[in-house]
Amino acid sequence: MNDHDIESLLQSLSPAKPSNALTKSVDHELEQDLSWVGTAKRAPNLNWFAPVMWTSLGAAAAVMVMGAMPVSLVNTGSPALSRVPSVMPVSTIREVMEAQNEGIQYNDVSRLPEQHVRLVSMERHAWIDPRDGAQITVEVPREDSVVLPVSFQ
Amino acid sequence: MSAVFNWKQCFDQLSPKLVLYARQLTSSASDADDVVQMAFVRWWRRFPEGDTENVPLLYAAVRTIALDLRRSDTRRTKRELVSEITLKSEDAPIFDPLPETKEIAAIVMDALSKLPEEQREVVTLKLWGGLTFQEIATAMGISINTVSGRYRYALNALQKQLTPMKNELVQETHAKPNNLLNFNHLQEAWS
Repeated sequence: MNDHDIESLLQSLSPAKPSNALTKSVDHELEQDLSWVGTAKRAPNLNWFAPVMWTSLGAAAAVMVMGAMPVSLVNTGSPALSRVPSVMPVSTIREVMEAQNEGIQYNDVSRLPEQHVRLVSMERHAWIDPRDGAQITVEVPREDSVVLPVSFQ
Repeated sequence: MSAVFNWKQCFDQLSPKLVLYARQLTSSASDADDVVQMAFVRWWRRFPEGDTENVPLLYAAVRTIALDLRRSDTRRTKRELVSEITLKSEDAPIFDPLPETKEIAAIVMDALSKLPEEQREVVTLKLWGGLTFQEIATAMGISINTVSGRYRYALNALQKQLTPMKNELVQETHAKPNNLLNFNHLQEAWS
């Protein structure tokens, strides 16, 4: 039994087909991508006219905004990702790293027992720009104190 | 809309091989599905034309995601063992044999499962993934000499495991002459 025989024997077996669930999941995800790409194409190049147009538009918009909005709102910042929808959120995962049972404590006000649990977790948010495949991943460490009602029987 | 057509055709062609490879690196069929989904979507976003020249990168993505998942699973299993919750691993088939070749597939699967993981990876990528040694080396981040060495060791190990079972395989083949597997050359080699 030589190497070629072994290779032929192995290759004669076909890998199992993917599950329907996998096919549907990929289908769904890529259809979403395509619909998103269709609505968020890059602006066409307006060659020499573009700088003039954008400059005048920008100036006009600035004058309007400064005149119309209260000062307190002008400086209000919002995340860049929400202002410019150039990227698409693809996943948000929260992985619990550790759960500390802090025992049963009695509420100061109601005097009822309650279970205190401290959860240490990591949130991972990912965005992608489907036009060029650029990815942004943000990890946010979290620590939550969870209070659960307890009843003794 | 050509992109829709491209990816579906591409997925139909590649997904069985990708799932088979992912199964070598994950503990369950559902994990393998998750890995393949993430890798394929990520790869398609990067290469929406489905260019076959970039297929080795797809296998590399499967590997990276599977290893990340395994690291995450290890942490999760430790936590769950502490809280006395046990995980039940699945045992899904990795081949799609015809009814008459199920026993042969079982013998081969058993032989494959006894290989060290790094050798099994190379065999899977070479024989079912259709990658060259150079492409496998790139996907796994190792040298081409290491790849060819692992492949050589894997074939030797499979030969040792499968040769004692040659009678079973030949009988199986003779009993079902209409099956699609052609083992006549095997019988000649063993005679």
